[in-house]
Order: sequence, then structure tokens, then C-alpha cells
Amino acid sequence: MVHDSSILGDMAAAPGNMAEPADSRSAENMAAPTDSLSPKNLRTPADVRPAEDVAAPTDVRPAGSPLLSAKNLSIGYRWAEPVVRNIHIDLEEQTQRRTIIGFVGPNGAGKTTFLKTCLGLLAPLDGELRLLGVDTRSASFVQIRRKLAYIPQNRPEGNSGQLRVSVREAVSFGRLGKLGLTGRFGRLDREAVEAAIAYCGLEGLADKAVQDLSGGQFQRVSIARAMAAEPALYLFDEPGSYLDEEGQEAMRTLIHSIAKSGVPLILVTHDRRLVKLCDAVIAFRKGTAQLLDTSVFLAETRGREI
Amino acid sequence: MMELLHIPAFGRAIIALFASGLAFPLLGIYIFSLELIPARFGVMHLSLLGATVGLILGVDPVLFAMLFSIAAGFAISGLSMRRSGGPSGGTSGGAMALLMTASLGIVFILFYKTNVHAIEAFNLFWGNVLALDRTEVVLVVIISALILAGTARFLRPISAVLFDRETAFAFGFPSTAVYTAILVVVCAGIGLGMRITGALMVDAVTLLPALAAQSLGLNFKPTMLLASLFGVSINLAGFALAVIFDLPTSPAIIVVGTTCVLACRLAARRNLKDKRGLTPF
Repeated sequence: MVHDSSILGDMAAAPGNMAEPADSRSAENMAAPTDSLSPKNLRTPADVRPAEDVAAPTDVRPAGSPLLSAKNLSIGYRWAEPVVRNIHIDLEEQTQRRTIIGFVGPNGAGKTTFLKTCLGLLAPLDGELRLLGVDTRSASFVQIRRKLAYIPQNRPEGNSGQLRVSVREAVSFGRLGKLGLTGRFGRLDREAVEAAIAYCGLEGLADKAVQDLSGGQFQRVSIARAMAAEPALYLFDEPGSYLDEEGQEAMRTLIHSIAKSGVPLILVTHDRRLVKLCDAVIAFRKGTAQLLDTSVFLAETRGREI
Repeated sequence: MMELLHIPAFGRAIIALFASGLAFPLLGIYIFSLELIPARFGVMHLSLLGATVGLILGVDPVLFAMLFSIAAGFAISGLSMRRSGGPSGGTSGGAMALLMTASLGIVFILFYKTNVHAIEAFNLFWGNVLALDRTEVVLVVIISALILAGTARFLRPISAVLFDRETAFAFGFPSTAVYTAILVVVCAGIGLGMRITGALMVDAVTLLPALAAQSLGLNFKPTMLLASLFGVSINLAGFALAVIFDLPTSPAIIVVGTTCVLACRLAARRNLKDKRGLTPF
């Protein structure tokens, strides 16, 4: 798979990547650098952290096992009809690293349900799903989850979403999987958090409450939290959904740079330009899911929304 | 006035109010964050069932009420997760309604079929801080110390779970265990709070200080500290008011707590208007 260079072309002139603040209170928060995700400012984690502290992405898969595989898998919510049935996928790694897999399809087709099943948030209704070689229902899958970084589409809902935590605290939550209940938050954790904050251009907002941020800024916090986890696999749910055009372009650059650093990504998306970054896609439609080459999928859906 | 403090019942009341004032407002913040407002009613009904069972067995009804409250915490956690089909942030509303009605039904069957007088079980609902015995005060102090120590030790994991339980789980954090632990502590606290202020006024020691602190719009940690400060102040001021003006203790605490909430909301509104450069009134 060759990445489309026109998409990742010159964006250096991007004046501000994030969506406009939702209200006047957020306006003052925008004083922070808004172009920090533009290519000229994009830094790899290694640029903003002492080199010896940067953990190389660890491939946790048992040798020869695919990134993701499913057999006779049905997914959905308990007490309801399955959203997608009989999924058979054996996703052989196409390259040693730099793998981007897209979950594509129209709204309600089951992309996010599949993502949540991959994370163990939902149990498969039937069949087997393996992520990084481990069955998502097995007890050992908790070890795998500690190596995942989930970037949700939305802010948390309800009262819990109103809990006022600073950006720095929210980013630090990304380290908790590694620390568990009893681990102490130490120097390496603090450095990983600060590196992720710097990488996502959130230094100026680090002490602000996340509730005072715009949707785009909150998405950057989610990405920083994911980066702080130093994961073996990123799972993005509709990245860029709160970003304006320039922000989305910066997001594509970010995704490309993560993939380049050797960490695989799964993207739930129906943005054609993001799909173009993918090495392969799992297309969800009419209650089924099918693994396709990206070029085949793009050719099939040319001229219409995906 | 001072000689009142030498009366053992008053001394015990002050200790219980101080300890619960420090710790129980933290439960209020958990209750708000996890949307457990209806849980209070469920726990009350299960406590009533526990007290009834205790009376039937001839054991201390308060102890059994506490045990049933703790069981309620586990039950709510399990039921809310079954409802959502996984650890993805299901709410406990339906689970609570089920527990509440089922326990009340069993309680009335037990009243009918045994020699337990309903009024004895319902005594639990009329808490009175001046009626606490030494064992109950020790229990209040121990539970309060556990709440404070647990919150201080696990502040970051707790805030991660309160902030976004689903994402915390997805990162491999044992958010289900933390969620269950929070629920159990909240339920135990409500069970104990009922003994201090009475079931109908348990909000005075849990929700009102939390509400006052939260209305100031500060971050999580300072909100927790302020809630504790408000809790102690409200409890002791309410108690003093009750002694000076010969009022019932719990309603006096509620009046002070309500005034505190209104004052904080007014201060928050003034602060916001000042920030926007407008005249406060």
C-alpha cells in the first residue's frame, strides 16, 4: 500500500487546525498554539523525550499471528439481534510495521460495535475474535488491552463527562493500564505524559479543565492520552469528526506519522481521505463484513459516500 | 452550653459529625459522578430489609442493615453491567428500581409472616446522632477513615473511572473493580449515614456539601477538598444551631447545608459575571 502523497502534501501554511471553540469561555483557551499539529510542528515522541526513555513499540503478538482474526463472529448488543453476523477475517500483516486498517461503511453498519468488541467492551454474541493473536474473551486479553490505545469519538456522556479534570490529569489516565491499581505514578510516567502533551500541542492548555475545551481540543486530549500509553496498537473511532478541514488534514498527517513510527492503527471512518491511508479495509454493509484491499473498496465506492 | 459537651452523647455526636463531615461528602461526589441519585432509595429499602432480617434473627438490626447495604453495592454493579452487556458504562437506574421494589415486597411479607413490628424496623429511618452508641461511633470513624484513605491512595484511578469508565477499561485498567468498590463504599456510607441523620435526611451529610463544592466549578481534587471542608463546617454548624435554638439536629444540618449550597451558587454566578466583565446584579 502506497500512501497518497497528495493528501499528505504541504500543509505548513495551516494557520489553525482545530475547530472553533464552542463558546466564549473556550476562546481564551485557544491562545495556546493552534497549529501545533501542522507538519512543521509535528514531532515524533522521540523528538520531545530523551531518546533513552522512548520505548520502542513492542509487538506483543505471538509469532505469526495476525493483527486481527475472526471466525463465525456475530457482534451486537446483548438481548438484541446481531448487528453483523458470520464475520470471517484473517488479517495477515501486510507489512512488518506501518499497518493501517480501516473499518468502513455507512452509519449503523456495525463499525463501532466491532471496534468495541475488539476492545473487549462488548462480548462477541457468537464465534471467536482474536486481536493481536489473543481471544478477546480469554482472561489473558487484559494483558493485550494494556497495550491498546482507544481514541473514542465523543466526550464521555452524562454526569461523569462533567467531572472536571485538567488536561494533564486526563492525559495521565493513559498510563493507568500499565500501572494497574497499585503502581506508583513515577518519573517515567510523568515524562510520557508531558511528551504526549507536547506532541499534541497541548502545553498551553495543560492546566485547563477538559470541560472548557472545544470538541477539537478534546480530541487532541484523547490522542495525547493514547500516546501517553505508548501502545502497541491504536484504535481510532471516527478521528477528525470534530475537526475543521485543516484540523482533519493535520489528523491525517498525525495518523501517517504514527504508522510510520511502526505502531499499527485501526481506524473507524467514513472519510474517504482517511480510507486512502489504509493498507486494507473491513467493509461493513447489510449485516456483513468483508476484508478488502483499499484500492478495490475505493473503486467500488467511487462517486458515492462510503 | 459548655457543660453540654461533657455529656457523653454530645461528645459522641460531635466525633461522628466531624468524621462523617470529612468523609461522606466524597461519597456525594461519587454519587453525582456515577449518577447514583436513585441508588440512595434502593439502599434505604435494602437496609430496611436488612434491619427486618436482623430483628427476626435477634441480631443488631443496624449491623444487618449495613451488611445489606454493602450487598446492594455488589448487586447494583453486577446488574448494571449485565444490562449494558459489558463494562461499558451502563447506568444503575433499572437495577436500583428492581432491588428497591423487590426488597420492599419481601419486607412486607416478612412483617406479615413474623412477629417483627414494622415500627421497629422503620426505626432505622429515624436516625439520631445523639442516640449513637460507642460501637456505632467507632464504626463511623472507621468507615470515614477508610473512605478518606482509599480516596487519597487511589485518587487518580478513581478519577479516571469517574471521568470515563469505558475508556479506562479499554486501556486495560481494572475499572470494573474500581467501580464496584466505589459502589460498595457509597452504599455502606448511605447505610451508616441513615443511622446518623435518618434515611430521609442522609443527603445532608453526603450530597449537600458535594453540591456546594461542585457548584464552584473547580477541578476534581480541589472540589474533593472543599467538599470535606464544607461537610465538617455544615455538620458542626448545624449541630451548634440545633443546640443553641433547641432544634432537631438533622433538619438544622440540612438548613445550614442548603444555605451553603445557595451561597456557593451565588458566589459562582458572581465569579462568572465578573469574568465576563458584567455587573453582578
